[in-house]
Amino acid sequence: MPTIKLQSSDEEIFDTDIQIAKCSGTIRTMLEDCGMEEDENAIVPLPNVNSTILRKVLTWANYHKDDPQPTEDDESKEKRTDDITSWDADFLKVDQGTLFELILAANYLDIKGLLELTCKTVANMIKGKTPEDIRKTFNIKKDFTPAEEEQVRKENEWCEEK
Amino acid sequence: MSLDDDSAEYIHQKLYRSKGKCAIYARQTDVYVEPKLKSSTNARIPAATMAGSSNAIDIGAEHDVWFHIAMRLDPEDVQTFGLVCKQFAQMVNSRVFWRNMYRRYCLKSGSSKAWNLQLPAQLQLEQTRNCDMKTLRSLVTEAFFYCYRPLKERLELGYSLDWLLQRSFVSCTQNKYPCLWIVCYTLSNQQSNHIQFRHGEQEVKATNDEIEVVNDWEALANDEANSSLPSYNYEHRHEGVVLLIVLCRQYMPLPLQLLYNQQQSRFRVKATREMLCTDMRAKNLELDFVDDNNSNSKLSVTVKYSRIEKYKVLPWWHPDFKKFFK
Repeated sequence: MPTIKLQSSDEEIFDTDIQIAKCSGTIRTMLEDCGMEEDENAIVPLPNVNSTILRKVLTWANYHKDDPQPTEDDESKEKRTDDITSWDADFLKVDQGTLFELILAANYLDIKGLLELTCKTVANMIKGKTPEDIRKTFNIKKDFTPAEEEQVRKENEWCEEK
Repeated sequence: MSLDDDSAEYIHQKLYRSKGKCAIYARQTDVYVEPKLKSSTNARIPAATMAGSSNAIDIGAEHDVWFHIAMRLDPEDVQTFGLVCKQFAQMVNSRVFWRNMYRRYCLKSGSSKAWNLQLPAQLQLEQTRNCDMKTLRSLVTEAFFYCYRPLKERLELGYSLDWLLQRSFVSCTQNKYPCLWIVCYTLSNQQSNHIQFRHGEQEVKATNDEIEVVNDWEALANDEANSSLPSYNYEHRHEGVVLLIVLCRQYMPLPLQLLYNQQQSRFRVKATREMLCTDMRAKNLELDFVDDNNSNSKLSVTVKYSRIEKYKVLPWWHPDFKKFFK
C-alpha cells in the first residue's frame, strides 16, 4: 500500500496511506501538481496544521475513507444539523479550541465532509440557545448599541415564534 | 465662471450621471492617489479565548471559523446568531450569506439552474441576481416560507395578534363585498425615514438615502457596501410591515384620530383583545392604539369590531401578503 509523508507545523512526520491523504483536496492537488506521488521520500509540508489536529484529521479520514466524495449537488441540498452519526459525535467530543482548529484544518486541507461535520456540530451548539447563552458559551463580548441590536432583531423577525 | 470651472462642473456632472463609470473625461491633474483608510466595520471582536483550551486561535482565523459556521446555520437560527455581536450581524447581513441560504434551502438538488416549482416566478433564482442585499434577503426569506418545511409549518398554524403589538399604524382600507366588509390594517415597525406610505393607496416610496450614488468602489468589490448598492429593485420596502385582515358583517368607521391626524401623530398598537361574545357564537376584536408623538397627553384610541367572522395576521413574508398589499 503506497504511503506518503505528511509534516505538521511542529515538524512531526505522519506516514499515511496515500488514499487516506487524498481525502484532502489540498494534499491531492499538491501530489498531482508537484509530481510527489512517485517520490517515496517526498514530504508534504502542512504548515497550518499542528500534530495534535493532524492526528485527529487523519483518524477521521481513515474512518471515512470509503465514503463517497460529496458532489456539488450534495453540498447544495437542504441539510439539517441533526444528522450526525454516533461515531462522528464521539469523535467531536473535544474542547472548543480543538473543535475550532479542526474547522480551520478542514478548510485548509479542503476536506468537505469534515468541514461540514465540525461546522454542523457548532451550529447544533447554537440551536435553542439565546444570544446571551451563545456569548457565554463561546466567550464573546456583546458590542451592540441598543439601537443596533433592535435593528438586527427587526430585520430577522421572521425567525421568531410568537 | 472660468473655462476650468465649466470644465470641472461638466466632468463632475458626467461622473455623477454615470455613477463614476465614465472616467475618460478626467484630466490628468485630477488623477491622484489617496490613501484609503480601511473601514473599522470589519474589525474582529475582542479576542475570545477559547474556553478551556490551551490552543488559542488567532483572531483572524476566528473570523473564518465563524464564517464557515454561519454558512451552515438553519434559517430559523439566523436571528439568534445575528444578535450575538456586530461581527455575526455583519455575516448574516451579506450577499454571500443569503446566496448560500438560497442555494441550500430553495434550490432543488441537482438542478442548480432549473426552476423550483414550489416557488412563484418572482422568487426564482433569476430574480435573486442583480438586486441589492436587502432585496436579496427579503426574497430569500419569502422563499423559505414556500419551500423550507419548519417555516411552512408556521404558516399553517397562523400568526397571532401579538405580531401587531408596538407596530405603527400606517393605513386602513375597508372594502364592501355582498354581506361582508373586509378591513385591512397596514402596520409597520420601520421608522418613517425608511419607508413612506401614501395613505389610502398604500403606495411605498423609497427615500433618497436608498438611491445615493456609489463612490466607494473598493468597498463595493469587497461586498462591504451592500446598503449603498445602486439598484432599482426595492422589493424589500415592505419589510417590517404586517397586515391585519378583519372580516365582519357590520361597517365600523375608523376613529377620526386615525383617519385625519396622520401628520402630527404616530399611533402604534398598544394592545389587542380577542373576546368571545356573550352568546359564545362569535368573537369581538379590540385594538388599542396610542399616540407616541403626543408625549404630554398620551392619546389613546380603541377600535372595536363586534361579532367578526374571521381575522388574519399577514406578516410581509407570508405568501398571501401581496394579495392584500399592492
